[in-house]
Amino acid sequence: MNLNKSFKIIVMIFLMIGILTSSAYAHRMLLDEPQNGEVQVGFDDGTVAPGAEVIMYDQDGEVIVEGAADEDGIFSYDTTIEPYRVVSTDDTGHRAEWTADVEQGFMEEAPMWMRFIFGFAIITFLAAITMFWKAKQAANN
Amino acid sequence: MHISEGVLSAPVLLTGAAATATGTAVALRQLDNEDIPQVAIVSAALFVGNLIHIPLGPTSVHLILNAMAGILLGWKAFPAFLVAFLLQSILFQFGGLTALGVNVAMVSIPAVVCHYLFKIVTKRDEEGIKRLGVAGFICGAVGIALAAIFLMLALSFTDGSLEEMGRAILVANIPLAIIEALLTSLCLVFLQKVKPEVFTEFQDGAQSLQRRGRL
Repeated sequence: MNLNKSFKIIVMIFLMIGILTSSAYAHRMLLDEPQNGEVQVGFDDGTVAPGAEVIMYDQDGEVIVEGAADEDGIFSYDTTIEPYRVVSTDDTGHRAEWTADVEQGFMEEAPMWMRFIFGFAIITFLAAITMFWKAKQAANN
Repeated sequence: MHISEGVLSAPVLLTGAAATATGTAVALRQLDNEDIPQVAIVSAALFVGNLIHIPLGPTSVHLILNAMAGILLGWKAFPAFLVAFLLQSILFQFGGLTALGVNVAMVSIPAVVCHYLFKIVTKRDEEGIKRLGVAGFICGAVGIALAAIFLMLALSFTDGSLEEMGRAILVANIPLAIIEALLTSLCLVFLQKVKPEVFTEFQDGAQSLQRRGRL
């Protein structure tokens, strides 16, 4: 089996960095809850998304307002508007959505390290299944 | 480098999915039982590596490591990225699930290109660590550059401004290409020192054929 030490070392390093760095998220666009005529568009590394395109919809899915966020990633709208669904996009394929009265999924609430370990468990499991399948195939031939 | 849900149109999504399916099929055909732990470990490294942020001025970039994966795995980079991105999408909402095919193809095609490029560059000189470092540097940069081109291509079918999109992608990816080039180069030199067997496939054509004959 060519499972080798150096790979293990590399993976361990990544694992350590991944668990120790609290901001170790990838680029995911985030859209905060619209409040007082303003909505913040940013990324989960803490940076903002200046110039992101924001579109607000009402409950029937009709566009109420659309425009671009300012240099702080904030999009301002008329306080008389009550957006039901907000969608933001930028030029490089990021997109975020916010909908009133939708709760966060279980996965978003689970702690970071738990999701990491879960991910590794699945990879191990997949590897085991593939090995089993390949071994069976070899035995049949 | 990861496109979110609902950005791309159906034809682009289907093209990406088809490319990923083809690549994965080729890889699974090649896949030897003994390769599986290696693929799984690289996949785990990609899963984590893509989540690491490098702060860079007002923004930050995250590693892709596709050149490294390509050099080590060849076509098997497809299933490795497929698993890594699927998990990232489910566990971290990083990249849309429907865009999975496009996202995987975007990084895996350059990975396979890097594999062959690395083969060509290191063909004549088996022992030279310097050469290995240079090859890693070139592959690291090429891997990111190609991925960025694929990203632009995929996004060019959306209705956003082409010029702004191109500029945004370049600004984010030029420093990333340099970082990845250095990292790939360092990793290869490190691997050559601690585990030279990894490169047997690249050192000797005959040995490589023998290896394949076993599959």
